[in-house]
Amino acid sequence: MNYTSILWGAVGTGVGIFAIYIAYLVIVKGRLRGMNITRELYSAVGAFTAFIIMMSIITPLLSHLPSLVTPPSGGWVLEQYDIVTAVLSVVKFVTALILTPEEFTTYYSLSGVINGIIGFIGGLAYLTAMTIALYKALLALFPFAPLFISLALARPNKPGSIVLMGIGLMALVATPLIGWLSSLFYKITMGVVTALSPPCLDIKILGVAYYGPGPALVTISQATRQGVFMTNGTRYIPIWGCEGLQVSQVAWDWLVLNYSYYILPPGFSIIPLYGGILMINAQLPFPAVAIENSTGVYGAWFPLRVLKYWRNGTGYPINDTVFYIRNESVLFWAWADGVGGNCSLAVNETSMVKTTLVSGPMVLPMFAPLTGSYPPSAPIGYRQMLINATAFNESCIVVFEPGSRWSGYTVLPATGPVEWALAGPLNLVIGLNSQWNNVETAFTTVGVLTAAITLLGILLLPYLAIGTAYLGAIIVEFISPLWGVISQLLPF
Amino acid sequence: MGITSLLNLPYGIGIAIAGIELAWGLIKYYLAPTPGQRREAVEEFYGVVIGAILTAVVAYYMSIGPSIGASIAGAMGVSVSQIQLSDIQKVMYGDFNAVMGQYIAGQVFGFAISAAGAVLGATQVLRPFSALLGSLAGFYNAIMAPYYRALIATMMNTIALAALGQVMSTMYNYGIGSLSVALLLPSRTRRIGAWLSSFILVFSILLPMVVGYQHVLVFNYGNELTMWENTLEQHCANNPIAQTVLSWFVNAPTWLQGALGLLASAVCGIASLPWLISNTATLVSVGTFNLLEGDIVIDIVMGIGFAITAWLADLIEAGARALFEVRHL
Repeated sequence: MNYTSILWGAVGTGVGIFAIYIAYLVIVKGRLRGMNITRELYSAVGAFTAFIIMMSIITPLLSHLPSLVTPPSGGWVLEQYDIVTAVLSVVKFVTALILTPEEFTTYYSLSGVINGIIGFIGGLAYLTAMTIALYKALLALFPFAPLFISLALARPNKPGSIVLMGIGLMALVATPLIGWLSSLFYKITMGVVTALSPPCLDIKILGVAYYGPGPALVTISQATRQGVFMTNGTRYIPIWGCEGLQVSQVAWDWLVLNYSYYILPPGFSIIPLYGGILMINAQLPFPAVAIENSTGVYGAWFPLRVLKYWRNGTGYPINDTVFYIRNESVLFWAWADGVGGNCSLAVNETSMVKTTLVSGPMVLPMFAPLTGSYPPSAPIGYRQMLINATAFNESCIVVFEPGSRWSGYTVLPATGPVEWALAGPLNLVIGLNSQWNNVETAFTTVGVLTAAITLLGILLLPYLAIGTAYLGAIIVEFISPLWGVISQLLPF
Repeated sequence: MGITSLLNLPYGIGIAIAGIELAWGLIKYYLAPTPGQRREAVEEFYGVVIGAILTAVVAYYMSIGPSIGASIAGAMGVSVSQIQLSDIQKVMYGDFNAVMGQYIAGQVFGFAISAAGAVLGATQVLRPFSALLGSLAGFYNAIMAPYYRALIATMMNTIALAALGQVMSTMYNYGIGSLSVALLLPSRTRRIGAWLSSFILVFSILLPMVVGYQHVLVFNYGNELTMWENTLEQHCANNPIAQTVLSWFVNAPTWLQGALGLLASAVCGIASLPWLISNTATLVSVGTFNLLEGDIVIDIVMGIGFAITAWLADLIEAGARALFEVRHL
């Protein structure tokens, strides 16, 4: 719509209608029928003057008030809705691909969560788009508001005039207010969409092949997100295809492992969702013995070196918690709750191997169960020790006491788009909470102001019409003598 | 237009009524018993002549209403199709069919994917495929949801406009326009005549204009689904896997080939995800917003049309009273 054309269309329409009406009054009623048209003529001329005055006020307003000439882009709102919704749906799609049939309860839960988010954003986007559309429609009507009001003023005592006065006033008052409301909605939606906006539209599934002690907690970093998952060997993880990927940490039993990794690109590119295989090799600085049973890992230890060796000295592990020495002095590294033995033991705490706190997946707590089970954030009942065990002319059993269990498994890897989908609603809720008071106030203000001014205008219509009639009387009485003089000069 | 065609409907009715009006004016003149009443009849006859002229030309006014409407819309920078009163119902019915077709096709497509997923989901082994199809249906339904709302709003508009078009067309064909002006002459029927004349004056221009606007909207944005599918099919025309799979079904029934082609395109689209998402978002969102905006514009304009009709009816009644009322000398 061309607003300048609409504005001039309104001016032309108004001038045309009033010209016809006044001509009809003067020629048909006055001259042909000889009726007394004084009051009607005063009202018509006054209303016409009021129309000209209102148009001369509105014309500069239309080009100077920013909210009146630049409606926000409703198409953009719907486009962003479509993009966010599509990516969220693809997250569901990818989840369905990487989960096993036994894990499908997780899929259904995730699907429900994502459907909820989509419904919420959809409602917000639709409301915003409708408000913007309403504003654009009102904006086209806005220049005609003075015409409707003037027509009502010209014939104030007719039922149609009351309706026209209502429409005119409503358009005049509601247009800027709806414009303000649409800008507010647009800002809120834009804020929500920006908070949720995915880094890109390219989602990949990456195979992971892990070689090392397990279950390991792997942390990966992409440009905009960090994700974690646990693995015992192989699994698939969703990632953003547009961002590079680094393995930033591999931990096992709260111990940070040394690791190396590389990505095997996909051998064929027919299925673009497939992003290749991430190969990870991880190990402790030494080949430690894990304190392990069928329920999990409880620590680790390793005989670092034999410090002293006497005749027939020997030392060997009996099982994963007991080491036997005789005629030897051995230095152990241990990650355990404690150590005991029937020989001389010198225990010193150490930080030879770096440990880490487990932060778990960066998703809302309510969604955490969907991702699986993760170890406690800090180790419980663990000490990292250097132990000097000496057994001269005696046999010694060194026993390592287990710490608290390192455990965990991942159902849904909280990486890339899955982590984005499960963390996004938090931003959305925070953003909306801060804005919702504004929305309520805005709705109330627009509704009350529009209704009040429209009703007041309708009630005041007869009095306003008297005012415009006086205005018309002044103009007519001023012009009449002039017309008398001019008509004397005309040859016809 | 030949002279004889003036006798055809609806011009014929207008001219016939105008003739009756003039005859009635003359009869009153010749039957007037006194010179004073004869002078009154002469005075009245001037008004009758104007009424007869208006009666005769109102059908012509109704026939040129669409071009006046298109000119007004053009002057305001809005491009509309020029549609004759008699074609409004047909055009709106066509638009309704087109939009309803899009709506049903979209819903059926989404339902088919979803139903296929539900059937597969009955078995434990095929549950991942079921979930894949379910998420595909979710993807499709979610991005199409605003478009469906816009289509429903458009359908409601086309129905209302078609109904009004039917009324206007009937009024035009049966010379109700001319009759409404004729009804202004007798004082007893002046009020109904004023309302009818006002309605015809306003809606002869407004209705074709609004219908033309609606038709342009439907023409430009009502077939987004088809456009989307065509774009997808074009994009996937060279996909080797899709073509290979489709080549296995060369001898299959046409409907099966069509369904498989659509499914292959959908899978190919999913495979080239960024393209699919950006293309769909751009295509669907622009059309959706324009349809929604058009829907609101039409609702407001029609409301104003009725208000102006009411306002004008009073004016016409007063004017008719001034013009046709007999002045007793």
